This record gives sequence, structure tokens and C-alpha cells, in this order.
Amino acid sequence: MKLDPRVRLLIIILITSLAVLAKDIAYLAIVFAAAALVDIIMKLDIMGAIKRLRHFLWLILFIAFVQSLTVKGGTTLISIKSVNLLTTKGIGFAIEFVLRMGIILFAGLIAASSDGREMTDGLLKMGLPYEFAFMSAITLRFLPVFSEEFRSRMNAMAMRGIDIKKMPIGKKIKIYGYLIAPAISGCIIKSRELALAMSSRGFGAHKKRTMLRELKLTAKDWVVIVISVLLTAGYLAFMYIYGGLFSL
Amino acid sequence: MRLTAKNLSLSFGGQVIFKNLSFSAESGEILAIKGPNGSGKSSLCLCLAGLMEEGDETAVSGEVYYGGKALPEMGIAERCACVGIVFQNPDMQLFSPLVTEELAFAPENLALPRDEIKARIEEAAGICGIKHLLGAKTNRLSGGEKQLVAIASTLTMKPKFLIADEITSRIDTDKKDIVRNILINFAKEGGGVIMVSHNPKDLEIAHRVIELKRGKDYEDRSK
Repeated sequence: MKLDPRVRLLIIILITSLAVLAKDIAYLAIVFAAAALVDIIMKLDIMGAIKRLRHFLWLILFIAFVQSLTVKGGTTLISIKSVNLLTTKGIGFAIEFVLRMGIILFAGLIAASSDGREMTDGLLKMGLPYEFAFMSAITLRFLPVFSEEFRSRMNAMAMRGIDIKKMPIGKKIKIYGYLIAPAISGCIIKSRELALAMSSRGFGAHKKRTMLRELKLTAKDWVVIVISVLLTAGYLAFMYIYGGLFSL
Repeated sequence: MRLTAKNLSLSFGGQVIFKNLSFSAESGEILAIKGPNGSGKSSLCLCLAGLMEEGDETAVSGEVYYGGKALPEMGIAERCACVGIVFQNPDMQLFSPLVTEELAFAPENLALPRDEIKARIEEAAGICGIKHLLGAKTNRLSGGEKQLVAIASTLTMKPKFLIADEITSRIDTDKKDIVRNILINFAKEGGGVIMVSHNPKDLEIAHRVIELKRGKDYEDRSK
């Protein structure tokens, strides 16, 4: 379903706000399911995203596992002598963490589904100063640049006969530490080039800039806005009544 | 319009890169700048484009005029109407996901109306032969195509002078010829070109060549 970028931004804000405000697993699970449903209705490639982010998903599971071991409370499920290894509270925290990250990923998928600079244009149309709107766009632009910088340095090390894959984990972490500083400095140099290219093309020439893309809210967009806001408000009221909200 | 550089000097960390550089270039002219690495060619381009900034280590002096008006007296929009610059690395000049958006970036900054933006995109894409790429994603383009998009993006500002900083150095041979033709046609239609290059084939299209010599005098010779 093709929606105006402002509507997609609104849905992202609503979903992520609920992920922050919902207090326990049951309430979070409903938000998780709703976020997944939104992605399915919008025909977004969830499986493709899971494949692309598999390393990150493993990291989330690893953090959840560590969290389940470190948070103590509730009933002890596994213990060795007097040390409580796994408790119900620990497992609860881990599941909540996984659900929250899942909701954020579903919301991120909505943002990633935009065509070109649509989201930036949406932010501009919502009245955000263009310096800030472009800042967010450029930040995303730099993620692959950083990854490329890092990979090229890894390749340079491999060319010198250092096989990082075969190294013990401790040494590997040390090597990654050495690589991060030059990768960041490479990014800074590239960011300067990019800033010059932007300045040379009149960035900042006027307080307001015009837009090639015409953004108009259609009847479908308005229907989605009303339904999204009503559902979110209803769910917040439900959580408030039944104590599912984090006290602010 | 005439570009005039008067007594331009640049030093990094106390080391003189070039000093008292004075020259001028006319509309319709292709002026080439060559010199060894570190002779300040790219920095000179930034000075001419009004983008060179003084820093703790960098000292710049001298003036650049376009049509008798000094660069610092111009606003950004006025500067863009006078001079556009294309850099060496095509990868770091494009920041929009789509080619059309990249080409719209400068006219949007200049707050031009939507119809004018569309017209400028069409015109610049036609000049650079990239109309077929307008719907493409910028990260899927080859190096040569990216450079053509960068040139087209600069041309959407309709500058009187185009500064080309080694723009053929990272692209393949057939695209180099296309780029040279774009520069030749730009000059034929009344624009001025300042071109930095080491490539003898690039220098062949220049009417004049200035050779920078690190820290020493420069040489201005007509062909």
C-alpha cells in the first residue's frame, strides 16, 4: 500500500511510542503483532529484511540471553549451588527486549520502504527545518560508507596475510579496535567532500527551499491517519485502565 | 563574464603551496590547470568556487571576482549562478537516492518553482546524455555515470563558470570523451571552464594552460 511519507512517519511514531510505553510482555506482544500486521498490509518484504539483518538479529538474541542471566528476581528456574542463573524476571526482561527490538525493526521497515528522498520531503513538509531533515538523510547515507571503509581496511589486512577469521576472539576484538579509528577518519574525510559538494550546489541559499516532489494527502491517507490515531489512543486508554502503561 | 583571480596565496601549516597567483578567464574559454601532486590544484579550485575555508593550519589570501564582483560579497544563490564545481570522486558527490532527486537538489536549494526545476533537470540530463538514468538509483550507477550525474547536477544551477577538478581521472575511456565534449560544448555556448587535469587528452581541449609549481611561481602559457 502506497502511503504519503507523512502518514508513514506518523505510523512509525505511533508504533515506537507504544513500544516504549507498554509495560509488560502481553501488551508488548499485541504491539508487536500490530506492527507486523501493518508491515504485511503495506506488503513490505519482512523475510528479505530478516535475511539482510540476520547478524544484527543474532546480536539482539545474544543481548537478550545475557540479560536473562543478569536480571534476577521472581522464581528461580536454574541455579548452580547457591547462584541463581535463570529467573522468571530475567526471562521476562529478555522477551520484552526482543519484542521491543522487533517492533523497532518493523517500524524501521516502514521507513526503509520509502522511495528515494520521500521521507526527507515528508519531514520538510511537516515543517522540520531542512538542515535537520537532511541531517537524518545524510546519516543514513553514511552507514554504507562506514561499512565500506571498514571492509576496505579489513581487505588491506587480509592482503598483508592477516586472516582475521582464524584469530581467537580476544585478538579479533583487538584488531577490530585498531580498524575502527582509521575507518572513522576515512568517513570524516568523505563527509567533508560531501559537505563541499552540498555547499557548492547552493545548500543553505535560502531559508526555505522548494520541492520537486508534490506531496498531497489523499482520502486513503486521511482514513489511515484517523484509524491509526484512534487505535493508538484506544490502546493507550486500555493499557492505562488495566495498568499496562509505564508511569511517566 | 570574466573570472579574475588576484594575488591568491595558500599555505598549509606555514608551508607555501602557491603564492600571488593572478590570472583571469573569459566566458567561452577553457583554462586548464596542471601541476604536480601537492601543488594546490584542488585547493585553487575551492578558492575559485568560494568554498575554501581558513583553518588553524590553512592560510588563504587574495581575491576572486566574477564579473567584477568579489566572491565574499555574493550570497550563496548569486555565487551558484556564477560558478559550479565538479569534484574528482564521483562517489562522494551524490547524496540523493535517485538521479532525479540529485538533479533537483540544487534548483530546490535555489528555491526555484517546480516547473522550472523540471525544465532544468530535463535540460541538464539532455546535455549530459543521462535522460535514460533519471529514474535510476544513484548507488547502482557506474563511476562514469555517477560523474555525469554530478556534472548534470551542477549544470542545473546554470553557472557561468564550471570548475572541473580532475573529473575524468576516475572514469573509463568512453565516458572521458563524453565529459570532454560536455566541457567543450559548455564553453561554446558561452560558459567558462576551469579544468584541472594531468591527462594530455584533457589538456588538448584547453585554450590556455596554467602550470602550478609547488611553492614557486606559476607559469601561464597560451597554446
